Amino acid sequence: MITPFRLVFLLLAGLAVAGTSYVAYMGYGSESTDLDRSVRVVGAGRGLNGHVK
Amino acid sequence: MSLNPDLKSIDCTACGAGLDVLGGGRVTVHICPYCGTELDALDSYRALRRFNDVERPETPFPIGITGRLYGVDFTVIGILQHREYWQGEAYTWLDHQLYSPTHGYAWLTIEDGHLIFARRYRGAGGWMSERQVETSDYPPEVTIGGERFRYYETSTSTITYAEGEFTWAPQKDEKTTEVTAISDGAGMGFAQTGTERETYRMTYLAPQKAEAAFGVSTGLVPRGVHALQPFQKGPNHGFLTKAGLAFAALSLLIAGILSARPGETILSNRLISFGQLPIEIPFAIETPGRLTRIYLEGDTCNSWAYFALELEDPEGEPLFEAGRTVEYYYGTDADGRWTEGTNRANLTFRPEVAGEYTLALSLEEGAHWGAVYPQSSAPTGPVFRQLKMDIRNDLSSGRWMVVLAVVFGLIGGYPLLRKYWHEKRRWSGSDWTDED
Repeated sequence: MITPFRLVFLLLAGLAVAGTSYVAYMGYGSESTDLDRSVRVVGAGRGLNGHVK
Repeated sequence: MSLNPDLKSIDCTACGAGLDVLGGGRVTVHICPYCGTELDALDSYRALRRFNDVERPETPFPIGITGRLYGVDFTVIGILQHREYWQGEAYTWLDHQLYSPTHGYAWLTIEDGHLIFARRYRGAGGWMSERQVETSDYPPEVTIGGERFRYYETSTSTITYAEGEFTWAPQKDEKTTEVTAISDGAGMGFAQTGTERETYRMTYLAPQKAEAAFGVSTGLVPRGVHALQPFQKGPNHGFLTKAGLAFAALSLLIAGILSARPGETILSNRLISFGQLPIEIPFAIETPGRLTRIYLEGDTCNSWAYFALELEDPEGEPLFEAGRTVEYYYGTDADGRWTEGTNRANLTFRPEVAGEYTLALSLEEGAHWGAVYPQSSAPTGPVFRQLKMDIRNDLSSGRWMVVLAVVFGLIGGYPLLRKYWHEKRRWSGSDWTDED
């Protein structure tokens, strides 16, 4: 028997699967975590004053 | 709370106190709650012996109280207190003799704040003896009425207090040995006093049911989980189990499909020799914003190589720096052949714009494994000969779907875990040990 609790559970579970499927399809959060991007951050600074790399 | 309206009464022949007579034709003795004298109900309530010298135990079900249990009207006609000493500790429980004019006699027991309803079992079935338990390698089992009961405990108790009417003559300090076996929803007690054997079928009685039946507030606080206490399924027990496990399976399936997506090949089988390093490798990204992975596969052999990678975007701005090691070792020892390490490595990033990127690759460090090669004959050549590189774009990752599958697995498994935990606690009081 479908009670309100079960209906809400199924809806939320379906949303969770759909949402997580999209995130997984796009690969969000799966980039390597050891990439040193400080060169890019400093690069932005170079755009400001042109001296620091 | 209500008292039986059909009360008859007698005066105690020892102390003169008025005693209600409630118990029906099979009552043989009546123990006065005031003076503790045991009166012979079959011989003009002649005083037989003095029984009680301990304090009267407290109970929410006093003699004379009536209640409707399992569709039958019962009256409490007697109270017995039992005590057992086991492993240096005293255990006490209180039996209430119940009487129904239509259904005869039964027991209502208070043990550790739990309530147990028991009736004499007169049907066909097995018997479990103390000796059988002592000589068995496994917990003995017996099938009675199509229900399988497994050994739980053996208790030897004495009666320490009695009052009211009984169908037999309780003997103070007389030992009764009872072997208890339990199934999922009931228990069987195989009791032996002297040469007399009796079998009881016992079921757990929820305190709310007893309170509703007798119209009292018991004030009982159950301690732990009783051996006969059935597992209380929540209203969504089956639903959560099925739905949780189904969604977990669905999540794992999607994780597998997404992880297996090959994406788009950007660079395939690019071979780089040792002498070509450092090198700059341009590649084009046509689908920006998607996961992109650089795969390296070396041919190190009892050696290692650490590569530095620097990526520049289409405007020549450095995106990131990173390092990857490929290493592979092998040998033999007392346990046989062994290998360690891997010649594969990868790096994943997300290019935000389309265009031509440039990857700068260099060998930062590397060495042969000294333990294999004695210093005098250590190889001096390159630590690898050839490196293969692949780049793929528009990839997916099943990682978060696996995490979601674990969450759904926990949701689906929780009701099962609750049941498992309940069963573990239910059996925790068993005195069976495999060393017996």
